[in-house]
Amino acid sequence: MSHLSFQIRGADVAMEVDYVVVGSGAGGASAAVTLARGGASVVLVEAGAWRDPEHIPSSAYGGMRDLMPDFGAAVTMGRANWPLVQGKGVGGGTLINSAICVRTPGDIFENWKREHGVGGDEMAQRVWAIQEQMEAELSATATPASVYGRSNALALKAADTLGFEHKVTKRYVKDCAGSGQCLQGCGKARKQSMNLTYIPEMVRLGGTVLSCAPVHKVTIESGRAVGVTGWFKSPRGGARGANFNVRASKGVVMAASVVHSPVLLRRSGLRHAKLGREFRAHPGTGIFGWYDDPVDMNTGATQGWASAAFREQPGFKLETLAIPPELVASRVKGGGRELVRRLHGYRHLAMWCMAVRADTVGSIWRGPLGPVVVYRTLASDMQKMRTAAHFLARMHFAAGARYVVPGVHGLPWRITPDQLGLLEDAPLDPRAWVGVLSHLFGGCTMGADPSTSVCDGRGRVHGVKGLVVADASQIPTNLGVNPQHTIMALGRIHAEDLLAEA
Amino acid sequence: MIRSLVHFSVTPFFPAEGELPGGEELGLRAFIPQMLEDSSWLLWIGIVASSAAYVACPLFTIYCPVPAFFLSGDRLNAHTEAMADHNNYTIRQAAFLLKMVGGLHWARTDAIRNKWHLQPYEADPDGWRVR
Repeated sequence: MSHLSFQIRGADVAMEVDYVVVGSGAGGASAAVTLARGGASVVLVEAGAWRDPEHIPSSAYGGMRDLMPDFGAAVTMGRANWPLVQGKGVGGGTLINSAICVRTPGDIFENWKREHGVGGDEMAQRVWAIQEQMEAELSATATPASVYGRSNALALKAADTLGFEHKVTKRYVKDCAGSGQCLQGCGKARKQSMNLTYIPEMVRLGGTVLSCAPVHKVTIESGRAVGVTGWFKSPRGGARGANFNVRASKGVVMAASVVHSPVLLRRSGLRHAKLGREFRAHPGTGIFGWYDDPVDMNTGATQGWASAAFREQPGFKLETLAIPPELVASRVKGGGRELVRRLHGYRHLAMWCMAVRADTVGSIWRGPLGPVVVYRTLASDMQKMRTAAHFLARMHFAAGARYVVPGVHGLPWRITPDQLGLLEDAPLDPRAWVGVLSHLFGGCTMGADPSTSVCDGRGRVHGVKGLVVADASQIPTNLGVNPQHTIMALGRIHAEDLLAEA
Repeated sequence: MIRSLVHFSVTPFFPAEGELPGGEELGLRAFIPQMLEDSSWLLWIGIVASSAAYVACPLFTIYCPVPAFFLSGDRLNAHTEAMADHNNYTIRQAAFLLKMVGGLHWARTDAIRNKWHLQPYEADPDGWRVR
């Protein structure tokens, strides 16, 4: 057996293996393939469906329906309701991200060592060595000039004009077709997402995937995690299917996502004080520039340019981002005839975005109807967002934009160069901004002290044997860079440690 | 009735204007039931509640104490614009959700994509690996 999808009620599934991995995103898939390469028997259990390139939708509607939980409508609770960017299905978040590959900055390991008692130089060297291997395995390459598209080219020009450090993004993409569809899943199979790479390899090595199989509980007996239970759920309509019970003699790897891992562990009986706490993210938003000549931003690489020049001070990163035209239609300010008039200029728009390295700390709770994420953005983080928005506007003007479209309530729908000061005084109330939370961290954070963390530096949950956290929920700080490379490396390290201990 | 309510509330956000056709001409009426069927319960509630707010809100947008059903074309458009840019966050969010529903339909149609020099979308497959 290599893959088992939705099973109807009555056809219950019971399996016994060495390891069960919960969740098939960057961390889970990386851990699973590492365990399989080490000769272990592995079952990878994923709540969503397994969609091959021929199943990947074209439209934003299909992408939100098939590849995002709750149709992409999961939002934070707090002063503002900002969407949480998450993936759904075999491959997890790697289905819907832009596959940007950034090595973990060295200061992160120093910070983890200083403030959490984990990490340090030893972990840094190990992570970087693994990241080098992964770059080769997943064809990480700089976005080729042939697929820049005009939006990315304009950003390069703007950064050169303003004179700050920047670069073309390095992505896990093989022979990019420049179809601008990364966020809807790559139907051309060029993006090296986990459903096309590590997970098929794990299956070739003898592993099994259970898809459409949300885990309900981790089975913990006498202080040891020994498996998982749950029931299949139909991707169409959500009908309940057969029960499954996977027993794992050597360990359970938890990688169900930042939002779900803490809730699942709490439902399984864990009572760590920090479970669901220390939630962090990179809140961000986009600023459109309007150019005289058509930009056609959905032609070319979705995110082909980035800058980490301001990662440390003031604390944000900048990227190009070609969101689907359907979302542009709802993102431009206004409604009715005025909105449609504004959208006549769609071809002239280029969207560039910022992600703030935020200090805000939120929490994840088990609500009656699912996980609840509470996030109240600090004024200091809103200040960073405003500074970044102002800078992006300057970039657009440096690249020749006639005006920018900030989408901030209380400001005009468009701002000309002589009105740039308005952005400097934009409101700091998060409700005035159309923000999103991307790159989620925490909830099961690692640390040396069991009273202030959920797992140790090897992902092992304090007080429970055989239970390892391998997704971004273990990461105790913001990274300030795209996290997929870090998450995958940590997943592999923890899996290697499990193999070494066995 | 729910479908009609949502259809009524989403339609004015993307009317025909200039050379761009409106959502209604592009099959919005058939799209709404599909959207409601595909939605999670949370999104379904959000869309229906936002539609109800759209109908109930003219008093708070254009200071007209009648449900939006009774508004004329220009008044309805003024209500739609005012709701999308309202100072009250909840009202503005309701408009944003309706606009998102309308945008997911309107901007994916061949007619709009053609105007924007984009290839038509292929049909979304709605399938997955079963073995």
